[in-house]
Amino acid sequence: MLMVFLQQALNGIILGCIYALIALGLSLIFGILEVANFAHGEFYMLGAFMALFSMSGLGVSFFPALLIAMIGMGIIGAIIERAVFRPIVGKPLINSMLLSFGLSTALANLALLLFGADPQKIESGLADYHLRFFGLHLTAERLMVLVVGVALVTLLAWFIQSTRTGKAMRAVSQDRVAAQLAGINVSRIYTVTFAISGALAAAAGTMVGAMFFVSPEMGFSVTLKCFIIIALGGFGKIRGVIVAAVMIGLAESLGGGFISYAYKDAYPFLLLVLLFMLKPQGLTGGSGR
Amino acid sequence: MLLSVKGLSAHYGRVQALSSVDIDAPEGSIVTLIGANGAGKSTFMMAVSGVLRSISGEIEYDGRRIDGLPSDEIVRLGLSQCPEGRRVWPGMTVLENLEMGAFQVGDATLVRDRLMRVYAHFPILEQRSAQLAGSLSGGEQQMLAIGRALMSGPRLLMLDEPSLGLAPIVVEHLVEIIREIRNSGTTIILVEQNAFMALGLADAAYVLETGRVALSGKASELLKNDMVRKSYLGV
Ligand SMILES: Nc1ncnc2c1ncn2[C@@H]1O[C@H](COP(=O)(O)OP(=O)(O)OP(=O)(O)O)[C@@H](O)[C@H]1O
Ligand SMILES: [Mg+2]
Repeated sequence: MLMVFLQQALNGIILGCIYALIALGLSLIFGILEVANFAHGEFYMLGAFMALFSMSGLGVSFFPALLIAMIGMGIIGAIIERAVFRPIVGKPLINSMLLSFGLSTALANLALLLFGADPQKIESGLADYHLRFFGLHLTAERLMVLVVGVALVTLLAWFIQSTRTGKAMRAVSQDRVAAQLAGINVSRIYTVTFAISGALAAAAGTMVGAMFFVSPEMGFSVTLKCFIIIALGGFGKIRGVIVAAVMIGLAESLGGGFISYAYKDAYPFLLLVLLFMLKPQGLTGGSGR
Repeated sequence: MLLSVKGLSAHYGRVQALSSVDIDAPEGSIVTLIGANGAGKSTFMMAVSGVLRSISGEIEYDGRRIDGLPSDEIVRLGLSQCPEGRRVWPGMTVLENLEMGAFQVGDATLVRDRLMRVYAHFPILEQRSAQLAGSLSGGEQQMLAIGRALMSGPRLLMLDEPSLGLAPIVVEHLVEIIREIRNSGTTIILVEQNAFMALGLADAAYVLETGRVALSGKASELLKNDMVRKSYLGV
């Protein structure tokens, strides 16, 4: 029983890393542009397809494919920011909600048309190596997901905390007009934000495509879960979002293992309702980033 | 003329906040704008800084038109504004706030020099450098906002109610600092609730009333003007 619990907890943490990658990007976009991107799950889906086709089409191996997907979705994210979101920055939230919902549907259907509905798998070549420790079981593939996930989240946190561009991103999210007056090119910060978020989503999609599979509709439930995560984590707070992502991953994995796998997508929502009842100010409370 | 504004109008939606305003700031001078709440003083500054885009008229800086330029471009040309209500970034440290004020300055030693100058003006900021700006007192935040505006090394500095929330002794100190900044060659446009202080400091003054220039002239002459004395100096 304890072993099953620990095994499910480990899987939950890995899932949480994936969610953190997607939710952090969503949270950055929300905090900096003040728009809601309901097409974020489609960034993740398209990233996964990009990696898949890099491997099958260009014949590259897994890690170069991951890199190609991140760069590719970074560029597409930047283009989408300029073309779709830039005109509605500063307008009421309903504008971006409707627009991105439309974008989400369009991208998912385009993928369906071009790539077909059949789930496909990304072969990382690491799934056949098994690690055992303290009675727990982990494939090298899942270990890779854990390592890459933690590395990317750490890199992002460092970037935002310490680099000039990262500080400018924080400045824009805290007071846009003051950022303009300081000579920060706010439009460029918007583009960078979408590029980073797109790249992180692509990394998550690629790794999920390796652990599970890639399909045009894989983005839908992820977008909703990640909105739950940023609501739980306190909007715009990196640490809060990471904690919330791991909690959602754990809830899904443990709920799936101990209650019923059939409801796995419902546990995050239950957790949200519970937390809003118990801690309405969010996980990390008032202060912090 | 370092800054020459002609026929500037600005509006928020249907609200006309400025109607055909002419204001000049000669190089090396201190120019003050006085006027009641809602007269359009902050609007003027936001228009010149390129933050407020719904404007018409001409804004000429150092011989070239800057109306329509993006705000970061205007900062690069040497215009800096310390906005009304401080607007420091509360979740960033004092040092980060100051560093971001020099966002456009590539030269690290220049940034270092300016930081030292700001710390010399406001020693409290050096003591608080690692603290989050949001945890500073109101007066300290005001000093930080002024310091941040200086970090870009402006040729023209616009100060929107810089003395708001400062203790009288600090206001005296601020007056000295404003003089010092001007003496080092920076032109200043000053908006103040404290019209006595502003007119005492300034070379030229403009009185704004509901978005129009009602009166302008030498600051020393406006100090003697009956209308100004009654409406803005309360004597
Ligand atoms: N964002 C805004 N939206 C709509 N109207 C605005 C906005 N900002 C200012 N106004 C209006 O424009 C006019 C000028 O405002 P402004 O802030 O420039 O005045 P001010 O002279 O700076 O006043 P104060 O001394 O109170 O700071 C006012 O009538 C104000 O109500
Ligand atoms: Mg004002």
